[in-house]
Amino acid sequence: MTWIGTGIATLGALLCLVAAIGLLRLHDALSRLAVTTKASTLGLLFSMIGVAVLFPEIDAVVKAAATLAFLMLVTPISGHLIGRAAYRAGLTGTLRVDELAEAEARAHHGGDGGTGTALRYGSEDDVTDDMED
Amino acid sequence: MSPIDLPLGILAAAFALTLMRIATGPSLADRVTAAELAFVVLLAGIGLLAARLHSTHALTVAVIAALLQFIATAALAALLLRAEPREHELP
Repeated sequence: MTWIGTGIATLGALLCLVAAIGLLRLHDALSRLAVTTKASTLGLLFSMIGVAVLFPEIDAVVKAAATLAFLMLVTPISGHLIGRAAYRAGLTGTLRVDELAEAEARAHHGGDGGTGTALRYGSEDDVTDDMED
Repeated sequence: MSPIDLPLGILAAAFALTLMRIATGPSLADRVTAAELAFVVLLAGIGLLAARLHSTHALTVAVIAALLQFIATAALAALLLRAEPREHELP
């Protein structure tokens, strides 16, 4: 039982290591964010399963599951927040396809006026502008 | 020497790499991303330490830290939105 748990936990730790190596080696903020959120969630998943196998008491298993549940709720949201902040700060790096900029341009130049408007993000003046249109 | 020391050592290496990115990260967004990963590595480490010491109290720390992480990251993202100069102002 100890060896199974240690094996699963080692797998989780290796996933965390992969995330750290990706964080160190990739070239722009959005790629680093992508590798970090996915690999770290999976790494904590395997680590906590390993903890639950190594320490099979109801108390420990419930706490490990609670930690995992909170983190799996929070990581996508915080990844989205950091990604949006990075995009708004202009840290797009080697981004090839920028659909948000296209949608913003469409919405601003009064193109199709439909789908792009909901994607906009700005100050309150922008909102009133849209109202006047 | 418990076998759990092996994943703990790997997590320590991951934590060290993350700290390097925090130290050298060119932009604030990289540092925030690295801090988030460091936090997850820390959570996994606390869990494994709890299994190694056979104590539930360390896992309580992990639960509370996981709850606090969202507040920390949201605050850092707000800071990031304010701190970085905008290259392209929205029309």
